[in-house]
Parts: sequence; C-alpha cells; structure tokens
Amino acid sequence: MDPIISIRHLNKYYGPRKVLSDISIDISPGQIIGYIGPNGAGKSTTVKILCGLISDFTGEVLIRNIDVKKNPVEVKSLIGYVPEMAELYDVLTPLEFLRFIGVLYNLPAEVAAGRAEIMLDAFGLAGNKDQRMDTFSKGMKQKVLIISGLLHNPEILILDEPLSGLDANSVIIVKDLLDKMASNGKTIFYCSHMMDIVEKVSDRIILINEGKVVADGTFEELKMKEGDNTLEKIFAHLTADESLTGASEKLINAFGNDHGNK
Amino acid sequence: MTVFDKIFLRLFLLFAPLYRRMNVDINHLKAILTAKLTIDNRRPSTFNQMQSRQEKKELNRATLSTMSSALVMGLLLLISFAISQDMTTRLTVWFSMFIFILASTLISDFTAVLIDIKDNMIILPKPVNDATFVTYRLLHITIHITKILLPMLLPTLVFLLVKGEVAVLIPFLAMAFMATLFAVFLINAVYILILKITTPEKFKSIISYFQIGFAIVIFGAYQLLPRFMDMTAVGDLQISGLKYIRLYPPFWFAEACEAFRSFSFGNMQILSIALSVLIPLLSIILVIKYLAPSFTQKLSLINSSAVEIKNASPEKDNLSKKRFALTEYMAGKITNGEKELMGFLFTWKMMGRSREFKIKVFPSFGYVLVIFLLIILDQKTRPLAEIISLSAKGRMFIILLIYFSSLISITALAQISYSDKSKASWIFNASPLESPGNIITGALKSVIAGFVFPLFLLFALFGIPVIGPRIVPHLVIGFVNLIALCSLLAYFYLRKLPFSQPPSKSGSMNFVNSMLTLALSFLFGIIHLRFFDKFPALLVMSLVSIAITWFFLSTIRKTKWENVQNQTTQ
Repeated sequence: MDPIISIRHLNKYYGPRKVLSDISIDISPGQIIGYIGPNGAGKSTTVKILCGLISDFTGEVLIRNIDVKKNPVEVKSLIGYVPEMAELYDVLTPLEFLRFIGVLYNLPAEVAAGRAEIMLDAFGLAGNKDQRMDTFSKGMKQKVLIISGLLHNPEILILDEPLSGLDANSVIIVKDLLDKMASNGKTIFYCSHMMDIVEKVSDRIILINEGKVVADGTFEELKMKEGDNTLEKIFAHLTADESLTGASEKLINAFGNDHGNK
Repeated sequence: MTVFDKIFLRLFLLFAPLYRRMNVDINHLKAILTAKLTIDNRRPSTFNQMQSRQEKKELNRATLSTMSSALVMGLLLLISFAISQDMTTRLTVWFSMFIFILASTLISDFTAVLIDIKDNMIILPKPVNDATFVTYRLLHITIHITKILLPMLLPTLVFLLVKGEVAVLIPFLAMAFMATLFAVFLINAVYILILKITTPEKFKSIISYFQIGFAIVIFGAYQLLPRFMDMTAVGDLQISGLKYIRLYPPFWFAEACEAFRSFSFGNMQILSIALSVLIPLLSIILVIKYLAPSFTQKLSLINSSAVEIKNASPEKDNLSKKRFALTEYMAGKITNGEKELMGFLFTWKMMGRSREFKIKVFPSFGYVLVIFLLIILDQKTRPLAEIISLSAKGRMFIILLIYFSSLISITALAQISYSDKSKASWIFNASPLESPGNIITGALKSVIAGFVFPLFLLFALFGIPVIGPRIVPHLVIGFVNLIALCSLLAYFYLRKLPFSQPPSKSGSMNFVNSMLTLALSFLFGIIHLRFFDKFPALLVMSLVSIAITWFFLSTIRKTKWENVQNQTTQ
C-alpha cells in the first residue's frame, strides 16, 4: 500500500540553525504515530511542514502523493490540525467558530452546524454552544479546538499535545476516539510529552532528538532494542546527555545547607 | 455584525465575479469576513458569562465608537475651508489632511484590528488559498476604511451642500475614493518598509510609536493650526502657483475636483484627472499583486522568527545589564526595604517594556510639549522675555509649565494598575507577602522617578542657563509639590497592585479624573504663584507638601490585602 505520508530527506534551517536534519519517514494509513522528542527537537517544525504552513525546507514531503510544497491547499484539506497553542477567536461562540471553520473546509453549512452541535454535545458543551469562548476554561477551549480539527472528517489528524487541560473523562473520550478513527483507516500523527499516553495509544513511535530520528518502531520493538521497559526510560536513555538523577541532585544541592524552615 | 457591516459586506461582495477570476473562493471569503467583522464588534469581555450574555445587546459599541471618532476627525477637516478663498487650495489642504488622518488612523488599526496574528494559527492551516487570504485582508481593510470614511466625509459633504457647491459633490466623492486608495498604498508601503528594516517581532512596537506620534500631531494641529491660521488667513494663497505642486498627489485630487466644478478642462486639468485616477489604481494593483503576498508571508513568520531572536548579541545584553545595575543602585537609595525595592524595580521594568503602557502614557509627553510650544511660541506676548525677567506674566508661564507637566505623571499613575498580563499578578497573592502596601509605594516611587524627576532635570537644564539660579528654589518647590500630588493621587487611585487589573476596567472615568487631578495640580500652582517671592511662605508650603507626602506614603504602606481590589482571586 502507498504510504499516506511520505517524508524524504527533509532538512530545515532557521537562519544558520539546523532544526531538521535529513528526516525520512513513511507512514501507512490507519496508523497512530507517536511523535516524541525533547523540547526544541523539531517536533513542531515537522508538524508545521506537514500541514503546509512552512514551505522553505529542502527534501520532499508527500501527503497522499500530493507535494506539500506545490499544492499546500489540497494537502490542508486532507488534514485536521489541532495546534499546541490553543488559538481561537475567543469572542466568537463555539457554534459560530465551528461554522466558520466548516466553511473553510468546504463543508455545507448545515452539515458543519449539525456535526458541531453533536460534537459539542459529546464533549458536554451543549449548554455553552452560544456563549463567547473568552469566558471558557482552558479545557473547554481545548475541546472546541479538537472539534475544529475533526469537523471535516479528515484523512489525517495531526495533534500537538491535544490533551492539555482536559479532564480525565475527556482524556478517555479522546483516546477512545483516536482508536476508533485509526480502525476506520484514518492516520493520526500524535505529538506529546506525555510518555505514558504515547506508549498506550501509538502503533508506532518515532523519537527525534536535535532534528534527527533516533528511534522508530513499535513500543515492543523499542523495548527490545533499548532494553528499557517504559517509554519514559527509553526516552531518557536516548535523549539525555547526562544522567537525570545528576540534574535532580543539582537542583537539590542548590539549596545549600538550608534545610527549610521547619 | 452591525447593520453597517452587513450593508458593506453585501456591497463588496457585488464584485464576486471579479474576485472569482482572481482565483478567490467566495464561500471562504464570505465566511472569513463575516467572522472577522463580528469579532471586530465584540470587545473581549473578561466578565462572567451572565454579563457577556447581556452584553450581546450592545454589540455595536465598538463600531459606533470608531465611527463617531471618525466624525470628529471629519469636523477637523473643515478647517481647510477657512484657509483660503481659492477652491483648489482649499481642496489641496483638505486632501492632504484627509490622506494624513486616514493613513494614521489606519496604521494603528491595522495592528490592533486588521492584522491578527491568530490568523496564522487558525486560518492558514485550513485549505484557504493565498488569493482568498489576501483578498480577505484587503476587503476587511476596505470595509473597515469605509466605516471610517463615511463619517469622515459627512461634515464636508454637508458643508458643500450648504454652500451650494452641488456640482463638485460627485467628482469630490470620486476623488476622495481615489485618495483613500492612495492612503492604503502609502500604509502598505510603510509597512513593507518597516518589515524590511526590522523583525516582525519589533513591528508592533514600531507601529505603536506611529500611534503615539499620530495622537500628538492631531492634538498639536488642533491647538496650533488655528493660531497659525490667523497669520495666513489674510493672504489669499493660491496653491496652484507653487512650482513643484504637480508632484504633490493631494493637488491632483484637488485640481481634478476643481476642473469638474468650474467645468474647465485644460491640459493641466486633464493631466491631474488622469494622475488622480491612474496612480491610485496602479498603486493598489501593485499592493495586491506584489506587496501584499510578501507582506503576509513575512507576517506569518512572526511565530517562527521568535526562535532566532534568542540569539541576540551578548554585548547588547551586557550593556543593558550594566545600565540596569545603575537603576538598581539608585532605586536602593530611594526605597525603603526589600519589598518596596522589588515593587519599584518591577514597576520600572514593566513601564519601560510594556507596549500598551507606553501607548497610553507617552502621548501625554507630546501634549505637554505642544502646550509648552503654545506658550513659548506665542508671538504676541513675547513669553521668553517675560520669563527671563520674571515679570508677573513670566511667573505665570513658569508655574504653568511646571504644573502642567504633572499631566504626564497623572497619566502614568492612572495606567500603572492596568495590564494585558494582569492575570500574572497571581504571584503576589500566592507569595507570602504580608501586605501589598510596600509594593504600591515602590510603584509610586517608580512613577515619580520615571515621570517627575527627569522633567525637573530638564527644567533645570534649560531654566538655570536661561533664567539663572533664581529659578532653582521654584523648581525644588515644584518638585516637592508634584511628589505630594502624586502621593495624594496614589492614595485615592492606586490601591491596587501594579499591573494587576485587566485593561477593560480602565475606562471613561479616567478622563474626568485626569481633569480633576490636573485642576488639583493647578491649585498647588496657584498657591505657589501667590507667594512667588515670599520665600518663608514657600518654605512653609514645601514643608506642608513633605508632610502630605509622608502621611500618604505611610498610609499607603499600611494597605492591607482586604483593601486591594483584586481580579485574580476569582
């Protein structure tokens, strides 16, 4: 089967700084990819390139055989993107916002409105659908943001830390939803720092560090290869320069001889 | 959306076939514009949901206030008809002012309303093509302009009608439209230029300086123009006699209008008509085709370029570190205890770095400057000679200068509690700070050190060489009095932590308060003037001021948590 996402020799610079270095990845439809790496490793840059937001890279990125560089608009319509920084036009109400997004994804108005109502209801926001979002909590905004990524039933879902601010019940809903979407043949590209969740939801885990792929495989494969039994340990093992206990020692030692007030 | 928005939107979507030919997706365009116009009309409400539901009834407020301030600007434009008897001259002045006012209003609106960085996160990841995005920006701008344009034109149209100049109405409207296109082109050119010479990060700060400058120029023009007009009104100036006037775009618009009015179409008139139509159209095509795309692309870099900014030069960092060490040293001398020092330094840094604070406070420097110029440049009274001789009039001028400068510190004090980042003040509540009093006195001292002291340094710098050492005691007394005034104000208005209130809470009452406090400042000034050469009385006055300062400072220092109105606890 043709890969739905194909990245070939992807390089990206910010000024003189190289943020992505010769990344090549093929992703088949129906997979949930856990895309992890330390802060500044290049995760968000990769995501922005996949979404057609950054075009000044070298290498080739094909989404369902469409070149992102040549045809970003077509690629964007295949993707549902939930960015990390929850930006919304928060003086709009969720329903107004989602209808607006629906038009941008070329959904008929009634379809968008219908889906939006159902999805808001599913997330327990039915009662808030006509309230301005500037009064919403972080979790409520995040739910609207997730809905805005799902609304047009995209082939590919790209999620950047999608669970931030969500309560435990909503986390369960989203995790379940991801499973169901994957079994319906959707591809999910999941970026997160929460190792335990990535470990559970991903069919395949890609770890990048300093712009390079340093591990790629199922969780079982990574465990075998690296000899650690949790993703957290594998992550630390592959990306930390010095031992992490050393760092926590340093933090504790910063107090000097002060043993606290009591 | 208001009725106005709906009408304008319909109007501009009449050109849909044209847009479609430019590869614009009309559905996308309409959706984005509808959303954006709705957003423009709604101020972010930080109140709870009950209130925001009520607020929906008053949605039109933002649009209405924009339109009414445009109406005021429109009235200002009528000045041009008082300048000369010659219609071409009048209209040239009119179009110059019109283009200037429009361009300056828009340049600030562009960042505040029209260039929303959120677009990068929300619209760009959606399958919206570039042509649509650019057209949306342009139409959004156009609708916004129309909202300003109509009220701005209204006074002049009424004036022309009343004067029976019916023949000029249609060409005048057409030329105003062309001049608007030209103004838009000018703004775009300025924007591109700014983006060329600076990073998108600094872009907003630069634009905010434009805003400050604009506020000052408008105020200055309002105050100074009528005075200069006294001089020029006699001469019936004929602007068409000037040599290079044909290079000046407002003149084309004016001459084109006049050509239709007097129905005289000589070669020169034809040239002006051609220029006034072609140049704006060509420049707007230039904007759409070449400038706008690169512009949006640059703006979309705003997020990513933040990464590069971190690699700023270490030398520069060192320099500002050294400069700050000096501030810290000085602050240590005038503050009392660590908490107050912390409050001082915190306020100092926030005042110096927060853009919104600068936008609110820095124009007052300009106002004060304009008033100074007004006093000093007045031809009839020969104020400088009076000041030097310390005559009765000269004394009044000195008192006026000293006490009017308090407008700056009053404005600063009124703004110091407000910030976009007001929510960050949770840190004060979370930390084991016994009382907020010391922080507030620190903030007060910071305002005095930043907005009162430097002015008196300036006064001394100019005053001592011009007037001689006789002025020194008056400067000292003025300084002491203004400090007392600030402490008094702080006691009434500054019972909040610095930068702890959302900006929406600062509102209309500020103007009334400023006027009241300015009057209070003048009360100090009048007493000062009354006893100008009675030294013992002035000594008593300054002792009273010192006592006032001491009393209010120690009262503020005792402020308890219960007295501090706070937003963050909810």
